[in-house]
Amino acid sequence: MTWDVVVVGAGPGGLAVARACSKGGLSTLLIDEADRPGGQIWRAKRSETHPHALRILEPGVEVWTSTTVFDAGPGWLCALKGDETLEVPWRRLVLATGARELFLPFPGWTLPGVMGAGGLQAMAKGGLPVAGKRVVLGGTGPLLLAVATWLSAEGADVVRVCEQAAPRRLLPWLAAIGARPSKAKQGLSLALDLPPAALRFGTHIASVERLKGSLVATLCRNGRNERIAADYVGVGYGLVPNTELATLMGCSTTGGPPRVLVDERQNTSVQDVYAIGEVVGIGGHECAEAEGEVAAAAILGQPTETLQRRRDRERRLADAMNRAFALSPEVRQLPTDDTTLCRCEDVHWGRVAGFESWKATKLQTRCGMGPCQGRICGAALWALRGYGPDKGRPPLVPVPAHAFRAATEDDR
Amino acid sequence: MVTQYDAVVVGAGIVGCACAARLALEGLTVCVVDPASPGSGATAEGMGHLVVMDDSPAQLDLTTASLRLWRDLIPNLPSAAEATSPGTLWVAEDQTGMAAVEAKRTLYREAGIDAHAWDGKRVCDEEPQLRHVAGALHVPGDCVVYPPVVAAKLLADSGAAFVQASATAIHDDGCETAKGSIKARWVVNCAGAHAADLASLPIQPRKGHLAITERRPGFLKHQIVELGYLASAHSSDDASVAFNVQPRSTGQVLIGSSREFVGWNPEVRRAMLTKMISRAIAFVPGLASLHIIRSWVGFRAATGDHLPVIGPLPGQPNHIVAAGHEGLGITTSLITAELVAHHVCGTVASISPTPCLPARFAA
Amino acid sequence: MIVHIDGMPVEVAEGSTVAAALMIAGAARKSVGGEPRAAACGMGVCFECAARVDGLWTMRTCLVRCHEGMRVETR
Repeated sequence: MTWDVVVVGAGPGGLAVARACSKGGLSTLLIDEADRPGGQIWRAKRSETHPHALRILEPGVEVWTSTTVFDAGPGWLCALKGDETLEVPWRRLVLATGARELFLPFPGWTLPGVMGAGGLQAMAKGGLPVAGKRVVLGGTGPLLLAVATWLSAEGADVVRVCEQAAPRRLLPWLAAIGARPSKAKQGLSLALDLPPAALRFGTHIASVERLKGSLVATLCRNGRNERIAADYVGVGYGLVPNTELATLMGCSTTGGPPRVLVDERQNTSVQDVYAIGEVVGIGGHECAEAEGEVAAAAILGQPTETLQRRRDRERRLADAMNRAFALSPEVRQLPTDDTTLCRCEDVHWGRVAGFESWKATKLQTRCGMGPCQGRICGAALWALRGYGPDKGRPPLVPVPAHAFRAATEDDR
Repeated sequence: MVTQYDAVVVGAGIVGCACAARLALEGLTVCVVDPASPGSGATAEGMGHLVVMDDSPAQLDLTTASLRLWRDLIPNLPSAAEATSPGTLWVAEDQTGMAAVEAKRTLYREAGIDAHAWDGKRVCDEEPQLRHVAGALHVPGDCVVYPPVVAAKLLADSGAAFVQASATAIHDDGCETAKGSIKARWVVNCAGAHAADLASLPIQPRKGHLAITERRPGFLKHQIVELGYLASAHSSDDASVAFNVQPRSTGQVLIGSSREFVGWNPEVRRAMLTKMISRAIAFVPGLASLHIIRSWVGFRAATGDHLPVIGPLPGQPNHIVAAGHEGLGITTSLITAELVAHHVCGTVASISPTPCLPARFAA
Repeated sequence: MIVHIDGMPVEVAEGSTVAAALMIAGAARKSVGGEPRAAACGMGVCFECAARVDGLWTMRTCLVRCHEGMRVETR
């Protein structure tokens, strides 16, 4: 059967577009790699489904979880579920593949117990006990505050939250938020729940070491250092779009790291392929949901002007956020020559000096040749050097070779 | 920018870098021109298999002579060049294949190449992951390298200048690039499948698909190729796949091979990947559960007769072509450099330059 | 429930991921250069949590839920 609409990614954007398409009478399939819908932001503890995801999960939508899309082309995609390779024909494709955390390398960032900020939260939701554990968070973005508050509520001792942005940089964004009552309320409640004295602005984690069974993070602010012991350190410098499926399909992108280019109605440069949410530009779940509704309306041939205005409003706020949390020069200068850059292949920062392109870097040092195919190190290189990977190739994620075994003798 | 060199080499693939190194060794001043970084074109796309091949007597001579040169070079390569000597197993699926194995063994031995015919049981003992076959020819002297690092090292050690620009035309006195003229007494055209953009040459891109797995050290001991590979390589039409798998020093398994003439279409096609990987799994069933982490395509520079074009263009004695190596560019890069040095400097070549001369295409 | 990490029994809560179980056990995989590594991104991107689960290689354990008696090996 050919699906009217296939949506890849069951986060807020994917859920929204799938719901609207299904309600509009189109056969709709929603695919996600995780075992529950909700994406990264609407992730519940253990194997529950987050209430927000349940709220917009539409009964008419067919949902395939634990399903990894690894190849795609005009009118088709291939996904792996368990051991089974699924070939999925589609008329319209919506890419809602979201974003991943930006890791900027610093000495000690690869030690066990040092994770992303969202990464630590995901691990905790997945059953890592944090009650009574000392946690230091660092990096940048509203995510830090959200993670800090959640961890505290779970009984963690969040001793430091280090935001690299200086307070004055955040003022325009705070003003924009203040003008939106619901967001202001949300922000205020996060701030009030935060443990007192933990928050530090203009501060970054310069390094982490393991000493006598504990992690010790060195926090740096205006050249002054503070050493803090912790059980877990969570560091995330914002988000980068997961554009690999889009670029595999030939969608045009802009910027570096790349994000997918879309028109007013969320069309990509490839016919019948739409993109929404973080993959188009980091903007949070409000942008994703708004864009999901625009895409659905476009697919259903309905008017989109009102929906576009809501989308534009959300995007303006998101742009203000991205400007506010732009990376300072200090956090781009943290790695030393023997800091690991490529974790998959153990390529150190000093090894990649002297190359002027991603291709040369990769071919000459093996940086980006491991299982993650440059997702982690490549995003770091975009931030640190201004170049990185920009083209997804099949398989998008490592799959067993049998996923490429011919089922029949037919060529596609 | 106008500068004067003894030789300008167009193309910084492994052939161009080897030629630059060899000419610099002879005391020439050399400039290499390429729009991309050294060793990042077809040089980076293939398998890096250093292999004796016998599609023709000339090919046997070329590959044998070049392997001798590789054996001298390999001890001087850095570990990043990933040089290993797994040898090659040419597998026969049936008794007809075994007859071909015996014939090949005789040919190789007469040419001074160490080769042994193994029966099915010996192959099973030596290569447990391979399904049962009738037997195989074992060629222990064949090696594997990682060509981009070798190319970059040859260029860096040569002292040759490098200009990152596209060559747009070749003249009697040098070449034109997007960044200006480079004057040289000799122009060596090592532009691979692009060599035909700069000279009238019967060289076409022949596309191949490849895939590589995660690390699984010890999974395979040898590079394993089916005898039908030769038929696939020899044929000049249509899309074909042939079983060809290689253990890398990282423990990854590199999976080839396919051939098709579709111009420069850069798309990785699922149908081709599936055909190629299915065939590999048919020979190595355990491959089914190894994860493929990446696939890509490459473009070989193919001439009609499966021999490279090496030598001066008729009527343009200072324009030396060194291109069209198809699936043997890495293997024969070093002997190519020796032949180019012969044409440019008059130094002794260890094999006859005649079979590869461009003049053979003159009607 | 009990899962086995490198032969060692580990108690984990229902619905836990295998990556969480690995961290609780203090088990780490070895990088290409021999360094100890554990989950970093928590969402299936970085492969630092990869381990063999019930005989299947290279599973992204942050995406896999524990079940009773599961066998997990870091090498």
